[in-house]
Amino acid sequence: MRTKRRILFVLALTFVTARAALSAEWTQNWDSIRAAAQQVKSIRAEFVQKKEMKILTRPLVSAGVFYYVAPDKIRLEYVSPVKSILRMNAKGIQRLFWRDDRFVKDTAISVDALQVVYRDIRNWLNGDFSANKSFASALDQGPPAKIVLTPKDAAMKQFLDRIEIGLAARPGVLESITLSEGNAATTRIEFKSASLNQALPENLFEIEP
Amino acid sequence: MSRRRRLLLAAWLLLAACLAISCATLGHLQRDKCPPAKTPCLAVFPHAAWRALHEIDVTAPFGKKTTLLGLTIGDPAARRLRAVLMTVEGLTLFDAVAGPEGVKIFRALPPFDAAAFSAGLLADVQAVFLPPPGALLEEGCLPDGRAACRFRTAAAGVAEIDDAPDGGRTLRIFCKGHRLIKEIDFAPPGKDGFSPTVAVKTRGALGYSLGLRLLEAESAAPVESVFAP
Repeated sequence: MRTKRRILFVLALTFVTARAALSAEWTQNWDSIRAAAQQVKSIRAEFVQKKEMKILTRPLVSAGVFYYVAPDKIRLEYVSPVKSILRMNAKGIQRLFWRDDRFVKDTAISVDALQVVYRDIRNWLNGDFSANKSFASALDQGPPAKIVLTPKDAAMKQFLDRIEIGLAARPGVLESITLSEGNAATTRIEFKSASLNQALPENLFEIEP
Repeated sequence: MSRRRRLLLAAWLLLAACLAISCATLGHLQRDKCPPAKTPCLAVFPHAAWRALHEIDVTAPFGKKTTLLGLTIGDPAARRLRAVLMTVEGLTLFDAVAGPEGVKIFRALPPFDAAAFSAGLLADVQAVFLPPPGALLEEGCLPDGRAACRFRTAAAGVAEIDDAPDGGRTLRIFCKGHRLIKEIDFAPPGKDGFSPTVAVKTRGALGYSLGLRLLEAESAAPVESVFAP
């Protein structure tokens, strides 16, 4: 019985150490991050979004499902408290809202900064943190490992103060994205239950004319 | 007359025509044989300090549509409120406080950075959550028998609140010339004292509508810090 326990303990320790080594390995530098990201062809993950502000006694919580197909297809589907879909492909970005029992296109608001961030998420998922012109990137090996992006110009700084991208232990997977607006206002998206490299229907990412 | 001037004149005439078509004016209130009001006139407004989150369906001029989240924190006794507008993705578009001491804007991203836009937005929020600021002018009933009361608005107009047939309330705001400029339908308040839905409609060529759906609400102590940056 004691031997069995020892074997189990050693196995668990080996798994934890190997996982940590793997994690440390893929977050070591930009090249290792890019190489790990390129192994990810698709992602489906649930997410929880928490908006915090000084005036809130508790965060505003939203939840949904995130889909990604390399190199440029993304779908962010909010299921609560408000149903909405943000989808992106090579043609552009489209937002849909649930109104009168159906999804309708958002035709009013075009927040440039938000569009820049979403376009950049595409680059980040491809492991490319240097492609965007709006943010300077720095790798903090942690643990936990994270990438810190700071706006390069004043115009972008008006929208966002800083972006932190948490890297998961699993190679190529993002754990969280935290957008800081300044004055202690943040939006943190935490991803969980990620399944990688599964076939995802093309129509999830189609943009209606 | 140059082509440009003719075009401007035509546009101005069209705008004036649209405004004229959309006009509805303030009628007389009957004072005799009025049935009693179902609820007090100001029952739709929060009576104590509150914090509320709404989903807001916006239909902007020319039919453009979007949905936003609106967080409001208010203190009716001080007639002060903080209004925060966010995208569903959490980006704060607008954050301001309006009260007796004026307006303080903490954050305003385009197009909310335009003075007229933010003033209109805060006027809508105040109209939805705070009773009309002026004195009670008259009480009575409309020609169809619904009880109504009228108050002076900040802009020397009139705010009329009547008993809606569904048990809710309708607030109509008339400008100084007694022309209807804004109409707000409140669904009957729930147990928490808040209307689960509120519909705001403005009149005129650049009219827009807002559909508010209550997501959560709570009473909150009127702490001074919630009105600071």
